[in-house]
Amino acid sequence: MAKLDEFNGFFNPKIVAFYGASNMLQKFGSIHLTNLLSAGFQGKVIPIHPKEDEILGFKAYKNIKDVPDHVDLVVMAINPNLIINFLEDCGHKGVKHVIILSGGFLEVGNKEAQNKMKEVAEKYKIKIMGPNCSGEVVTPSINITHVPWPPRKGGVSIISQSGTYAVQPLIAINTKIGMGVSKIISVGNEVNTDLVDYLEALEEDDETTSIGIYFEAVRRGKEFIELVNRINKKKPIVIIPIGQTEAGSRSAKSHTAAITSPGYVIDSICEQTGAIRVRNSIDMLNLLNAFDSIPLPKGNRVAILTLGGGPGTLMSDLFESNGMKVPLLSKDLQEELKPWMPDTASTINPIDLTYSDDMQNFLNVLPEILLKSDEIDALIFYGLMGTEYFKNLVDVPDYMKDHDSIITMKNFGEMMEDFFIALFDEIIEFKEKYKKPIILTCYNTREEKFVAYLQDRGIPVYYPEEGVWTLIRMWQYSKFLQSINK
Amino acid sequence: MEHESKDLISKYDIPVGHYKIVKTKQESIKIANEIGYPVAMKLMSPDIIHKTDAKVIKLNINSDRDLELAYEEIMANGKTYNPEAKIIGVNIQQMAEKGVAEIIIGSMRDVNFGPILMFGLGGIFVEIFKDVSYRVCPISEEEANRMIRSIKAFPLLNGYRGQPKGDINQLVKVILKCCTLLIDNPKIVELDLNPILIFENGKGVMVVDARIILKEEKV
Repeated sequence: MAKLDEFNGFFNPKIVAFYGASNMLQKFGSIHLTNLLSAGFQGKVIPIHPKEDEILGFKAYKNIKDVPDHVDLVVMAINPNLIINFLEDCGHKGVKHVIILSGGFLEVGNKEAQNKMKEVAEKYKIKIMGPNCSGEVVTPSINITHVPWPPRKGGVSIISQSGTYAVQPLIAINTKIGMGVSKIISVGNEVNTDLVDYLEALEEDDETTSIGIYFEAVRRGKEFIELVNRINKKKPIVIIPIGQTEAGSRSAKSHTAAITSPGYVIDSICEQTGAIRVRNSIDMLNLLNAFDSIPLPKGNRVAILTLGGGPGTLMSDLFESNGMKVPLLSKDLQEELKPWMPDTASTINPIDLTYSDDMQNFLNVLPEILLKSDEIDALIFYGLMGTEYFKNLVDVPDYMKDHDSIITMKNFGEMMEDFFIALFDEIIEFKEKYKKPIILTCYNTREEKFVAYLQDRGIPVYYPEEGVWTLIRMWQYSKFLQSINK
Repeated sequence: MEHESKDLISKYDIPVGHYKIVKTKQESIKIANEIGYPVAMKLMSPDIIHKTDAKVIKLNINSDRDLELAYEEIMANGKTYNPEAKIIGVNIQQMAEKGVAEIIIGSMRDVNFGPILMFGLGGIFVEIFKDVSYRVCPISEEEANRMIRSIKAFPLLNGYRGQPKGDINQLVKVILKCCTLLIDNPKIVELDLNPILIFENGKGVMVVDARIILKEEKV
């Protein structure tokens, strides 16, 4: 059976039973149940509870064996001592997929309990995600984690041996990155499904376009390398190895009972397979999001279009010291740009407008001239003026409020919205039209509605250096693909 | 022991300098003449690991007379260094001609991924600059090539500023053979071929010293 079908109970459940949900909303199980419903889950949820008849408005059952429906997925967030018995009940009921959030097994040295769990699971052919895990996200409507912000649907999938790194970044995705997700899987102690299994499933999964791995230790090293080697040629794999120092390794061991491999081993695996190693979680999310939403650069030449010299210079330094070029533009191309730029501006690349209030030139005319030319392979912007910017600009003391120019500006901010949207729509079209990566950088986050607007439509909007590193690593992957397709 | 390590790597067709373990002075003269002068001589004892410290290595021995003197000196030095040391014999070895460079191939076994091969230039390049590359076995020929090329000192092997170019093709073959050896022999915890001489293009490479550590058998 294909791996994806084997995991259908995890990825496509219609009826989900919860152990550990109660009428106290602060309980872990209650939070997971609520988050699943808030995510728009259209199936049925069934609480299992020893005393209550009704939980959060849903009919509760004392024992899963009393539930009349077939149950596709069970979620357990309960005292670890109770789990084995409940697992037996689930087995009798014919449940095949169980997510065990509870800890207290191999990670605290309780090998016996974990082995027992494995035994019962084998007996009834139950697949377990966990124990000691943080659950899963499957867009568009499954969020069985404790973080109440499901991401929008997209192509990024993440497998994590760290529960926190699996689900807490949902907060950053929600407030800052705006990434589109397919699946997030927290594997925990991997009692009978592991990183390698989920990787196999994601290889088959058409909805997944790029894969991130938070990696502590892989018990099936050889299979892992073969799989990464194969998948990375089709879908980019980004790896963060954790537990590479002595203290890190000690921490990993107490965390998921994993014995980690030293950093040079992971580096050599990345060398051998072309997978990309990053050093922090934000780099990873930024990169995965870009892989999912913009084309790969076909070469290493970047145009920087900036409202300000500093970011242009820093970005140039970073690009040029990490394998990309910020080439001088040809005379002809510079002549083409010039009429659309202020007299004080520089056309050589970085193309620095210093200050311009003509957003149409900055966001549409100049980018199109650059993208159309065969002198550059990627475009990065610095600077964004959204309407929030104008609205905040008029947050002046009361005695200034009635001044004509303030009133004009305030109206201007509000009137600009439609106009700005049209400019951004054009950028989104450029991406398809010219098949070159476009990244916009600024210090605004999704509180500025145009950041959210762009991100939700597949234009990455990052802090300046994040944007640069993202392009550098995309080029690294693109170069890898070119080398194997030679 | 070194000679056992060399026997094993010879089985994998990895070129090792001619050598023989002898037990007497007379025997050493016979072997040295078979191999041909100049030769090197080392005392073989499981209790003396640091041969240079113990002064039980003699290089560039050119005649029977020098060989006899060297034999006596090495035996005496060994006794002084460690009177209790168990002596297995004396290793007589072909004195290698000067190579383009000295390199190292090493390995360790990772708990999750199995044998990991390390490659680097010998001496200070490994010790000070840590200029080495690693790969998880097995590796392809292309990957072995990339492994060699990915160290910073690679130009020194590749004919930097008119220096002779090393025999990279043979080096690739040795790397691949080491991988096979490690996969075939899961008891090997650590392999240390150090130094390996790499000669001019077409003239191959030669393992000068080899050390293999096996997993301790649990009795």
